Amino acid sequence: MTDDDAELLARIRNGATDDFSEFVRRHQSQVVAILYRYERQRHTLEDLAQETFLKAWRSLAQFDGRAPFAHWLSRIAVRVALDHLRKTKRQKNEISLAELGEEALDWLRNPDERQELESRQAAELLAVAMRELSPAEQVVLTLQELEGLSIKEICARTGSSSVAVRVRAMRARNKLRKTLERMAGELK
Amino acid sequence: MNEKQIERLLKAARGEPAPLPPKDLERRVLRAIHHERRETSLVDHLSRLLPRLAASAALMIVLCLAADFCLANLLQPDLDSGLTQLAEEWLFAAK
Repeated sequence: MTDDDAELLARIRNGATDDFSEFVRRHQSQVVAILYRYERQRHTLEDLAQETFLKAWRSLAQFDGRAPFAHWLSRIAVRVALDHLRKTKRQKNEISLAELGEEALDWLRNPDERQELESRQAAELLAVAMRELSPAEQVVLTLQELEGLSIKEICARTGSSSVAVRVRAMRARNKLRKTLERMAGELK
Repeated sequence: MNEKQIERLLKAARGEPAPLPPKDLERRVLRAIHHERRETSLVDHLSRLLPRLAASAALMIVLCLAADFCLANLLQPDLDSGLTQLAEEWLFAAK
């Protein structure tokens, strides 16, 4: 934890509640970036970011300062995202190709070497395909493949064992491949 | 779909920039914190008040029982005979 964060935390613990807004200012970009991997709708994303900081506020007493505040906060953000995925899994389970842009559909039809997909289209395509995965698999795949975290770091973020993380990562990747193949098959 | 194609898709998605945080996020978070603290303090007040109310109610019940016991044993006529007397004097006075 930086000296600035430690000093700010001490002030908040002594009752300066309004100083928590400084924490929000410092870490909001990081929290929004994490949550955006799981929720692309702006309004819901903002609600999840608020919920993350509110949860951080509630459990501030448990933060011992051994790890950086940013790491601790990202664990909370991942937990909020996982809860959100579990809630929405019941509602948004179906895969609809109509949600995808023309570029993403072209790539699915012909994912050859020459055709590069724009990052936004790729993320949208992934978000749709990932609906076939369980929430826990989505989180592991996102942390590993999109955030580039190691197995050890994923264990720290999710609180799962390394065996569970490895199994989920492998299963998630297989499911993702099969889903993309099925989606491509529907287009032909 | 082969692994290489999936890797390209993931690589492309990795590069997507996150949106900017909402401008009023700090304000929204603080508002939610203050709201929660108000609710918590109301619950705190109630949880402090309820044991006192319960103790007062218990004391009142004990006092009432003691008073009834004293009246029943020490004073004559008791409540039954008092009621009988009232009935005779007022309700059946017309007879």
